[in-house]
Amino acid sequence: MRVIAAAALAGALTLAHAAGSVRVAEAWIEEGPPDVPVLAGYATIHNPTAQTARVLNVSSPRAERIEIHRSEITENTVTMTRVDELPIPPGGEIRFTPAGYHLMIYGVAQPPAAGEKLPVEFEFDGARKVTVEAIVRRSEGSAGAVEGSGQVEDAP
Amino acid sequence: MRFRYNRPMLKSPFSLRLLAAAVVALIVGAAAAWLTENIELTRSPQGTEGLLWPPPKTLEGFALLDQAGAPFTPERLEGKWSVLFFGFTHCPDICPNTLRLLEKASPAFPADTQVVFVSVDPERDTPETVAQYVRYFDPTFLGVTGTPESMAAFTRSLGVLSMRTEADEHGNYSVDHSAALLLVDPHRRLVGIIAQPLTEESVSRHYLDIRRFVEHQG
Repeated sequence: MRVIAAAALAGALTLAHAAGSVRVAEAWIEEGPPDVPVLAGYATIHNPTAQTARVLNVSSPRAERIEIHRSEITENTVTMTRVDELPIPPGGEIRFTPAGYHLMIYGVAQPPAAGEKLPVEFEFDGARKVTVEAIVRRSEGSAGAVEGSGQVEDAP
Repeated sequence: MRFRYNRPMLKSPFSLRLLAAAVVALIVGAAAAWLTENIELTRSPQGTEGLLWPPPKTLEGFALLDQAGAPFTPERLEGKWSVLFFGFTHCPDICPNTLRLLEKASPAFPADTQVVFVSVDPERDTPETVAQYVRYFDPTFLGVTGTPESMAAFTRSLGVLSMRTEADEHGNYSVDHSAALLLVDPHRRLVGIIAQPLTEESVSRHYLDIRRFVEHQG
């Protein structure tokens, strides 16, 4: 009984926490070929607050530096641009995907293999920092890569 | 001149002969339109998916390098079908995704098919870099690079866009490039294009349909 109460309390606290602040979920890194100069990382950033949250910096102790880039496929042409500051609208979320927003992870000394985890820190405005463990895995390679990606979605 | 594959038609289980007949009928029907608007891409609401070029262009006069550093010249496209994909090793999101998709789709390809990764970033992609990159996805795939000049001439001859962006403060740049797959027949003729969005299913289906059509034409 005490266990259930504790679990319920923990659950409630988690919910309260989730409702109140920016959150980074489903962080993962695409396993890359050996010695590849840059790896791609993905995550979903939720902003349940009433103000726009801005990602100012992303870093990892395992990487030289991390940037946010956005790829787009239009008229069968792939373009990629760096995003220096990523705003997440109030009550919104941004889902990173191949052919959308993604992390460009430069200079990972030991190329991580599938199953490994890398700590990745997202720094938001207002000196807010969120650290997640991004799991390394192989993507599926699907049409999902190009459709509905990188869009700002309304909160449910 | 380009011919748009009719999408709904290809979804139906047409026999080879019926399909060919329907395609020929469409060609005849569309011939007048081609004469007036022969370069424009025809688009369906979903976007163009598979295209044929009648008459197809024969690829010649290029001198590139494969991942072993051996010459990649026109003969390398002869006697087999080639699926060309354009990308570069500094592209960590779309390029691996497409290569994984091809890795999954390729078992459905006839045995006389070579999948070729063509680097649009020959300055950074040496044969060794390309070898390591391609081998990771599928050791049967071929990787091709070359001098910047020879690669520019090759992509230009294919009508493939490739444009380097300005380098940032770290010296990093990206290469905007065509995301479609090109199909080359055993006579090294550029016979078709498979457009985005690519799926495992759409790639196999369009490749096999275009191939069947071209083979039927002789």
